[in-house]
Amino acid sequence: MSARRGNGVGIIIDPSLPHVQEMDTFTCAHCSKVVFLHEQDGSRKADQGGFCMPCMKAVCGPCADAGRCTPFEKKLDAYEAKGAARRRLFRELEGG
Amino acid sequence: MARFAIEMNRTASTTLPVGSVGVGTTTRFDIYDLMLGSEATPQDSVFLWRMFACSAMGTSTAVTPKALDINNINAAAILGGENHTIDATPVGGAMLSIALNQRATFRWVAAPGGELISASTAASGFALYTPTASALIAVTATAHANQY
Repeated sequence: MSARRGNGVGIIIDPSLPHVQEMDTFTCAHCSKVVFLHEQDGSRKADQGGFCMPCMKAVCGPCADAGRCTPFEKKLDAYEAKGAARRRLFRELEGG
Repeated sequence: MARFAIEMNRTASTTLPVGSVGVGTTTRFDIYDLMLGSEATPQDSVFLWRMFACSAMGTSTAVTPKALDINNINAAAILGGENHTIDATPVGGAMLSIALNQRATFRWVAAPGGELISASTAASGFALYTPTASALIAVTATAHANQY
């Protein structure tokens, strides 16, 4: 059901529950945290996160509260660039 | 792009990961499907499962990723690990957190574009923990990953 609405889905199969429990999820565009939109009893969570207008994607509550657009992809690029700079330095040091 | 399955098993620990998925080279990958459960004798026990991004994978028993497409000719750059003896190095908060009864099985499937992406830095990836485990019994997690 969730996938049809474009959400991720968390599924709990627990013999003590009367039915298979499905919970909609989305992944925060700023920190990549998986946010559950439903409690495990099926009710909707009070904190549904927010929506970042600059990147037009759903974000988690804390990232929405931060009020800045820092897409996770940009953070990854910066992290990778730092690693690349370190590797370049090591290569130069090894090269003498 | 190539898809792989990584199955991780261990006797639950509250300090060491159930398993880890990382890369040994500079390749990005993402996790789009995750299954958690226990194959121990059914009983009521409390588990908190949490997944963290990691900047180092620790020391573990290697798990060979299984290609999901038998026609896949790409070698796996993804490295699986289980039975850690030295902890991975988690970075930041949990990316996925779910509390479960031991009897329950959990599956998370990402929406397209909502996958958990790892940086293309060697030794970075994800590690799965059970920081709360009221019984230290056998637990299993299976992750499906896309290697870019």
